[in-house]
Amino acid sequence: MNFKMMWTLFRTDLLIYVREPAAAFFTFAFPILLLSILGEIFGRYPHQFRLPDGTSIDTTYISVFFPGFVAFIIANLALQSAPIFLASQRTTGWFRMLQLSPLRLSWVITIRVVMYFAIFVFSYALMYLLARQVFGLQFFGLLLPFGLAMLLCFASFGSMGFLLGGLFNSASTTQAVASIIFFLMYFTSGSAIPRDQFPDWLFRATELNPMTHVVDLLIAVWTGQTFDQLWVSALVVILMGVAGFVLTPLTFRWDAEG
Amino acid sequence: MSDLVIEVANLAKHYGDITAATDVSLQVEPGTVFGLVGPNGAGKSTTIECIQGLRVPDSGTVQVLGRPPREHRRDLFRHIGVLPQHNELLPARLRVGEAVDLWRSFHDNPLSKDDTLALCGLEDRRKTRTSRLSGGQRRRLMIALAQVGRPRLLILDEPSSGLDPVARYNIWRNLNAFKDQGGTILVSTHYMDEAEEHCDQLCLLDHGQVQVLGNPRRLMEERRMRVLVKVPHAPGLDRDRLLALDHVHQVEQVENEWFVFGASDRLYGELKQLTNREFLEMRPARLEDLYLMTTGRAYRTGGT
Repeated sequence: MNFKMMWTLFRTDLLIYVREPAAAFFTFAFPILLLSILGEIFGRYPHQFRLPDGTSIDTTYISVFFPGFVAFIIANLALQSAPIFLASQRTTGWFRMLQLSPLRLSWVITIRVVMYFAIFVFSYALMYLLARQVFGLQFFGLLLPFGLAMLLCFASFGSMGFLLGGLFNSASTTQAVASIIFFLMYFTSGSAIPRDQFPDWLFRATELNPMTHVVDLLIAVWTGQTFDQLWVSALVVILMGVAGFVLTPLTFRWDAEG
Repeated sequence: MSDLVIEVANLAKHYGDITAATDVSLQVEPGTVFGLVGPNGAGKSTTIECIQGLRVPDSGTVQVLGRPPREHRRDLFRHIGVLPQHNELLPARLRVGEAVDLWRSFHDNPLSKDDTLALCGLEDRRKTRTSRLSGGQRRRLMIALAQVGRPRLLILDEPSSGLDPVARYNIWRNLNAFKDQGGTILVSTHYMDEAEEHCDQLCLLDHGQVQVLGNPRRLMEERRMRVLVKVPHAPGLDRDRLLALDHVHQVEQVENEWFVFGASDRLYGELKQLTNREFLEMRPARLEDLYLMTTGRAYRTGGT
């Protein structure tokens, strides 16, 4: 293991990423903006829910639906940034340059995943601090299960993002497809608008949206629910991750020219 | 084990119906500059990409430093520096110093950062984004990156393409210094003058096939192509009459002229006498004339 090389590659990847104005805006500024605006409008509304032992909790809207913002960060990174970044680096030939070096190619992917995870952690920390300081965010679950649930959602959506990043030769096609998928999933998942506001047919239809299950899982763990209340969502997220991990190696390409 | 740095035998590669390379065989000896020459679309880049291990040949074998490149990619690229054809492969937002840092991290005993920047003459541009470099500067940077790991072999795909004469001169000065230190260079170019001047061996490719292979000067001498006299068409002047002259060795028709080659300046006098002309255009024969004689077509860098 050459840690100097891995660190330099990580640093280079990160610098290239954050210097891309659109990527930097949607990754760091946009979630904060979204939280600030939605938090200001709905965040302090009173909200009531029950813990598994039957205790009724009176809290604020944001303290229950904050995981929806976490799901947004994950989906934005995994389904928008990652595939677009991958496709654009493949088409511009950066991956070809890396192939012409003694670098182990699996490290390129590993470092890329680590970079996205680091960005996710940073973004999450920013959102959490903002929500806590400004909107009095409360946490009702346990730290370890919530951490594991976030990790599972990140891995699952991340694998779908890498899958999407390998499907098309053109970066612009990837961007268009990724944006459609992301916004469709986001607006119907309960991350943007709580699903209990949806009409019944839409509520049922959006159960087919994988991001719905990411939101539901994270909210369930955040609010301290037990396994029997979240296993369906957990299973969907796991299955999606397995599909992504199995299919990604079949679609992933280093070279746009084949 | 062979001492050859590169050995390609009967390489063939097709993209659908298009034949990019067919039956290409070549050998590159240590300490030499080997040129792959030919017009755009001749098969140079495909051959180079097969040598680099980026593409799988449909048939034939490729050995680099005694090993197949695809199976030993990581080991081989410790000893090989590569310059791809396009300048835009470096991310636009990467700075010069960061690119050098990254490439240095790939190697166990790299050149120092200062030496690498000095090699490409960009010591004062380390904080400049690669997108803000001129074409020549970016090309020099990429060649320096190829040299950062102290390679034994440089594989350069059109290193001076699109550059002005000063930039070309500087690049070749650097490459000649690398060769003088014992390095081997495989270079593809569509500049015939460059190949003629710098290559110890060349392989002239066209339509994916080897047309000519050998030392440029020897190839010209073997064909007794030292001088070229251009003779305008005239009634009764045909190939047989030209070839019947003592000092004429090769004749090729190009549009409205005969290109007449010989080994001696006396060719000029013979042709003046034959054509009754006061003046004929004469110049030293060049490698592109060899291309003409080999393929029957004038050399054009812009097309196939």
